[in-house]
Amino acid sequence: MADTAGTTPTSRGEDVLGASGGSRTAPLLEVRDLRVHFDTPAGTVKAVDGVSWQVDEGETLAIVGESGSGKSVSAMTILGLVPSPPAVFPGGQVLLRGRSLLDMPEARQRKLRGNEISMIFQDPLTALNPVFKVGEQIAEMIRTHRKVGKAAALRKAVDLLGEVGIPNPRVRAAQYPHEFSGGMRQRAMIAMALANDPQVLLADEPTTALDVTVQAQIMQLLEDLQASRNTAIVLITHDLGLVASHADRIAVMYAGRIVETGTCEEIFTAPRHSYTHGLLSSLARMDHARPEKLEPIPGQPPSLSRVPQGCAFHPRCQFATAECTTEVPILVPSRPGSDHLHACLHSDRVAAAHSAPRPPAAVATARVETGVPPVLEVEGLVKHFPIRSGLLFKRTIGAVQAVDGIDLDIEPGTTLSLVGESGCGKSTAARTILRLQEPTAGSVRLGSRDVTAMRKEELRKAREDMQIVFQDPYASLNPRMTVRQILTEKYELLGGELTEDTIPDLLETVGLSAEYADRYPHEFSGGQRQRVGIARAIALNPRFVVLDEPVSALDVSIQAQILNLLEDLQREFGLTYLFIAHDLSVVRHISDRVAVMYLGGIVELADRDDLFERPQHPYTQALISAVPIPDPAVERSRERIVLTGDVPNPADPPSGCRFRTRCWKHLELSDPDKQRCITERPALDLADGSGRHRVACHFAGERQVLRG
Amino acid sequence: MGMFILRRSGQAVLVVMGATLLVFIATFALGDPFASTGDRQVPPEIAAANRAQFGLDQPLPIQYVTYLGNLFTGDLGVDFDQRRPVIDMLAETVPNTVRLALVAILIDVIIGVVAGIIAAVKRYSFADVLVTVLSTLAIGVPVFVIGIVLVANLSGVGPFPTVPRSFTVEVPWYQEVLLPAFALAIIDAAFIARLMRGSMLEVLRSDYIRTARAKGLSERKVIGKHALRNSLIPVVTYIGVSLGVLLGGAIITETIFQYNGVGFLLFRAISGNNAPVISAVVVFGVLAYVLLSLLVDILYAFLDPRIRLN
Repeated sequence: MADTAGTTPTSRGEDVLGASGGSRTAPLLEVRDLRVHFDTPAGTVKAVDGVSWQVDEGETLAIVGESGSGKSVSAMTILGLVPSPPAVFPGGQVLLRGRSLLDMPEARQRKLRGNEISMIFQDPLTALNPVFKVGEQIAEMIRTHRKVGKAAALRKAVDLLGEVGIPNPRVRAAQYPHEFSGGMRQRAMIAMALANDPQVLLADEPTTALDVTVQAQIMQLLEDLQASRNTAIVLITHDLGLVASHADRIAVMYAGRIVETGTCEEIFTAPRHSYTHGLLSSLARMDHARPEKLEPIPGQPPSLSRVPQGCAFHPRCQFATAECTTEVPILVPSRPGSDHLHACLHSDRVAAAHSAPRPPAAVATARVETGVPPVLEVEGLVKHFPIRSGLLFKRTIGAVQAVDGIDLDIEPGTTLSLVGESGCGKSTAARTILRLQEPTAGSVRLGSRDVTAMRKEELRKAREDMQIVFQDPYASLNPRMTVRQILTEKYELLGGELTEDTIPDLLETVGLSAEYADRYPHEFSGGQRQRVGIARAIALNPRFVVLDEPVSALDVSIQAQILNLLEDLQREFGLTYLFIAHDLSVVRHISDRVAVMYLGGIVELADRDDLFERPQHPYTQALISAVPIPDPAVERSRERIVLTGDVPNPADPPSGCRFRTRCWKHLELSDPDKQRCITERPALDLADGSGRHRVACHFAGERQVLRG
Repeated sequence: MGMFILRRSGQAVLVVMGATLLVFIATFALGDPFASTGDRQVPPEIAAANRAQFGLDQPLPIQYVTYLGNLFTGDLGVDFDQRRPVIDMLAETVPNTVRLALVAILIDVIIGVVAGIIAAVKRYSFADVLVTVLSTLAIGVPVFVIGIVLVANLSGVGPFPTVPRSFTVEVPWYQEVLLPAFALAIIDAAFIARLMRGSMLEVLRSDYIRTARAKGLSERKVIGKHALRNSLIPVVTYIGVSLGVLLGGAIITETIFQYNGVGFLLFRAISGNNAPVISAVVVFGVLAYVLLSLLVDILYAFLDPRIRLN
């Protein structure tokens, strides 16, 4: 390594790749020392700063990084979609089979776009043009690059829609994007991207906006298509779990650079960069019981206009030394001749730290004392939203059955998680429990008080005891109020002793410096804002707090910080949580009990370990099996239940068991048994002798889906 | 769709009924056209005879019912001044106003949409700045100033007829309509340009434009096909509203150019406290406006399939 000390990191990086590439033919797509900078009034933002990678036919390269790491910009640059100005490209090459893309005239680049290189995007809800029919949009893709007639292109579009698993493709092709569900739209996007048989598919967070069961469908589809077409896939994502099961090679990006790259195996089992190690240790893992403590990466990713000197990660790194602050580490092989490269001066210490066992979590294993009266009791809670229609005067013609009769208790000082896919009614349930929305029927008791029977003034007083933390820390704090005003308002509204020390103490409790009190929300990062949101919720020492997806808008390394904070607060103040989430890994980590919701009803309710280790309901099993686990070894041996279709319309749920239309078990049943699912709605009955595991299925039975 | 039109038509009937009541109160109930005012002394018996002739001696509710009944049968009454059937006066002026409104809208849509697209696509360029400055100027200057400037400088020049108008010289409608239409179009075009620019900029930032580019479409197709239709949606609303207002009579502009449309008619009717004419013109304006907003809503559904009309 000594002989490379004088060279620039990039030339060295090229050497390494050049050496490894020399023995083979030119790679399909190669990015060499790519730099993308943006000139802004605040200075030069180095979004991509010397990035090199390559991908070959039939191979999946994952580019992993948090928001602002430059991973999307590098992909957009390949397609020539980064507008210049403001972007400048001070260096680097993109080679598609040896043809250099960046210096190609725009007209020639355009011929490649959508033809040889295609892209699918994160949000299928907005990526398709709302005013054109889906079939037309796919046909347009074909006609842009092939000389075919309109009718022939439309026929091809219908075939493609069929190929990506859209039922009734002929009918669907004539529909508009808003008539498709999220998963269907992403399928349509994939059909469009693959219409011209591109050699490379860039997938930018293709499943981030989708539910896990749909994510499993889409990733399965991509793998099948890749196998039949030998497409190279560049998977850009923040989700390490997804990467573990779907990538061949991984490049980890931080602050515009690749800090580590290697095979999937190498990255997960033997990370050599401190950041990679940090990411892996901050992940909650669904296949581990809670005793493992999350080790968040402190701080937050740097602003790309002010990247720290030396190694960009050093301010957050537990191994950083003086060298790290001056020297930009270069990518070096982990072993001589290896393609596993890292840019960390302390790779040995990282390796040692990664193989050492992680300390146990401060919170003891989930054990709920029985016999203690619950803090919260929910009985038969129903929330229907009427659908009105009519000529001049509206009348109710039906109802969206968002929550349709749920029962829950939460014991003091414990966390009950309510999980389910979007639209299952979990957030509505939480809001109805707090009476932020009036329940249609049912009762909620908080301690000895009946929340549903309270009058307005009484309810307002009772809010002191029941609070909520919202999902989006950007939208849930008033941008015109300082943190002090936000927190003080709480005391003024609900009464409570407010002394000079109250606000500083409160801020320190949630891990914020007291001097932040006079700042406005926009001056904080997402994680800090969520801390403010938590401070607001716990301000008056409530007994019961609803956490409505409190970490799902945050980066992975920040999620762990917030989860640890929530656990600390629970221990310190004996808080009782209702945790609303769709991320089962986080749920496994934080909950004592878990309730799984589907289409307005609870299908399974059990203690955490029981639920994950011995799930009884076919939906719970499918849900758990769909969640990727960030460990390639586990992923390879696991069975995946891929559910078909989408969640039915909650205004018109299926008869009998609401899950039966997507149930894998239902398909295996005899006809009389099937009939039972269709006609009889299963009750949430005890599943075993413990008296704490309940399941709503006529044919419940264990199935191991967590591990191989 | 049918249901939607039916429901909206029902609402339209209510709106028009409400408008008739307000107009009736404002014109017939609150003033006596045959009263003696100032130096105009009307002998009481003649005033009474006049009132009897026009039914003004009846109690107000009866008058209103009679008025409504007449309205439904298309009988708008005769004007107080020359005793001409009001319907004839409308028949004479409405086509002129329709021509004026359509020509004005045509001019301002062409100028506004094109300027807006250029400003958005070439954001921060000289053209963009020019559009912004000119549109601010056009919006800031009141229509009567523009009108008077045009009359003072251009009337009688080339194809433009002289103002004040001579009633003996026949001028083809397209010559007659040009100047007032232009005066009306300037301000609307400025509004549309700004609206179009903003809406186009927003659309250009959207994900489906990125998708369109990623498909390898030419910039011309990206803008002209994918972005245009989406960004026209807010503009259509404005055009609809604007056309509705113009059809109700551009009072100031028509008066300045002495253009024989409903606006000028209304101006003269108000000056003469000519209630049947006032009410007829106003009801006509309301009707035109209501029908146009219905049309705009239907056009919406055509432009944006997400809006299904129910």
